[in-house]
Amino acid sequence: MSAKMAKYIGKRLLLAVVTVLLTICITFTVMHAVPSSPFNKAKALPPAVIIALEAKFGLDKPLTEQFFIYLKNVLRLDFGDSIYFRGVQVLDILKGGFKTSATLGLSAAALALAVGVFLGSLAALGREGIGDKLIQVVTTAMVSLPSFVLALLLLWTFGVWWPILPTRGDMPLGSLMPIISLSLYPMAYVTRLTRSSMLDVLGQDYIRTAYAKGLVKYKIIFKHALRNALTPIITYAGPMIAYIVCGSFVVEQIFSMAGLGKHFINSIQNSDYTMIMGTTILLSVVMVTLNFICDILYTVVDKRVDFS
Amino acid sequence: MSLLEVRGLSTSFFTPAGEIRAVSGVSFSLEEGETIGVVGESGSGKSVTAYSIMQILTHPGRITGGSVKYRGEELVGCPEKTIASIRGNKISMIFQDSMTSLNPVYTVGNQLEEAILLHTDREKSQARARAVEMLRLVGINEPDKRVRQYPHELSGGMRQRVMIAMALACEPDILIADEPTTALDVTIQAQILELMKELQQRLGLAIILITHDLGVVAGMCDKIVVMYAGRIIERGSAEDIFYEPRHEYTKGLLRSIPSIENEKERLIPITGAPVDMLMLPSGCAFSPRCDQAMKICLSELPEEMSMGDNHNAACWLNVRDMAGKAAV
Repeated sequence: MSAKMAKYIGKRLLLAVVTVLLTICITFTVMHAVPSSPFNKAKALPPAVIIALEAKFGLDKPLTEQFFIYLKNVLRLDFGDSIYFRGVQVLDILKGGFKTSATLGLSAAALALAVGVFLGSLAALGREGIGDKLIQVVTTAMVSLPSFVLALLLLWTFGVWWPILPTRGDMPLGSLMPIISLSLYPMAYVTRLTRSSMLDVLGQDYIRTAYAKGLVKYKIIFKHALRNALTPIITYAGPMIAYIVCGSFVVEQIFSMAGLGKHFINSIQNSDYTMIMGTTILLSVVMVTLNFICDILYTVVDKRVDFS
Repeated sequence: MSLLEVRGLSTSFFTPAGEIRAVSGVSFSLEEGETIGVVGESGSGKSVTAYSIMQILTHPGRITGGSVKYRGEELVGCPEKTIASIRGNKISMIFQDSMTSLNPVYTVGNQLEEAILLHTDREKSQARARAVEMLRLVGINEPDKRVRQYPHELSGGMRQRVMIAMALACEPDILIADEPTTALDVTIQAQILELMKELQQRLGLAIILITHDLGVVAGMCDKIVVMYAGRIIERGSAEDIFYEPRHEYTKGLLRSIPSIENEKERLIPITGAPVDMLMLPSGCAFSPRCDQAMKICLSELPEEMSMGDNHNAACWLNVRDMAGKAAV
């Protein structure tokens, strides 16, 4: 068993590394295929300056050579200097922003999962009842509401109309509103997912067996049904957490937080090659890590899942 | 006072297409240590009768009337707490498909201990010991190892033994077995039935055995109840049912069993399709498939009539025959 598990984990890790390498390769190629340069943005620079700058960042070399130089540097965890933010290392920018975004994102994800699973179970339990209908209507609204509308709505309600919460993310309790804005969409989604998965499980024969044993409803829901209903939730939670911890442009802008979200958008607008690569690599590493954790979790939750 | 007394039990499923009366007016009683067989084809209401007794009906099913008394205590309409304390403790149930009836994500031991911890004062370690003891009782080898295994690691026969162990762990008075052998190989079927008989004698159990297999009830049951379209249409001892059936449906069922003596004889199936429960005929539900049906069968529901000692049948033909005899 444990040898089998070690082999499984080894295989998954290898696959994760390959995935990240592929992501680097594709992003690098596409990035350079886009007809824009980091240096002719604001004002036209003299050609001599551009040549000098390109030499400084190694952009004058053939593309394949650039790629292998970059790859070698990345393996040494050197992501280079940002082209746009002069003299600042990409790694430092990412580190700084990731701390804010990850704290925010993890809190939001935890909130979304806890509340979503709980509400989804309740909805499934009282199927077709008033509570279930209400939960369905609200979650449909939440899923279709864009986060910037939601964030602004919250900001106006609790920051202006009934000012009980700070409007800036860097004040005490300031992360409350951004966390809520970030979590409502995944929360609604998890609720719906849990409900449908739970309804499916509640129709299974072993639930009938559990009732026949004399177990009470809540024990059946939270012991026998929930664990079987978790698989689709884990599948969704992996990528959801990955995206959410890498920051949100909109929510971080609205609540003035120095997170990562803006770098994903701005680096592309600025053709900041090193930053584009840095953010992409970060997201892909976080993504494969979470998928890896999910793969392990499947086998923990359900022993029938084979290590192969 | 009977151990279990079911009177006029009716259960319906309220579907968007309409009310399905899965069980209507079912009555029978079960004495201590007795075995009663409930036979009928799929959809005849035999399982729903069992679920109604246990009150484990799923949405949109509901008991619409009647009474179920356990040792004189009314269960229909009792608080959820009362029925929950009886389920798995006084009245236990095993199901058809042992693969899907055990929770795949918990070990056999965990699922066995659950009922024991729930209904008895045993501590965790005592519950584990009891679980192992029960597995040994139902003839599972290496019970110490099995308690740590998951359902998918056991064979079908073994899983059904686990189900039986689980049902009997709290020493119930009544075991309801809902098609316990249907999903098993013939050889394993015989073993499971043998085990049930043996345990019945050892523990003084009363059994309600639900099956569509008349061969299974023949060797096990003191009383047999035949159901069709949610009603009991004939009841009696095994001899009555097998040798002197008084309902055309029962006769049809018996004709469709292969026999060893006449192996060249073709089996005679019951013609027609099972009744549409949404549109029950106003008369006898079997009348559309009955080749002896009379005019009255189509319009009026026959009541159960006594055919002798504890032998009842609900068929107009008996009334005609009796009337004929009376006239002679």
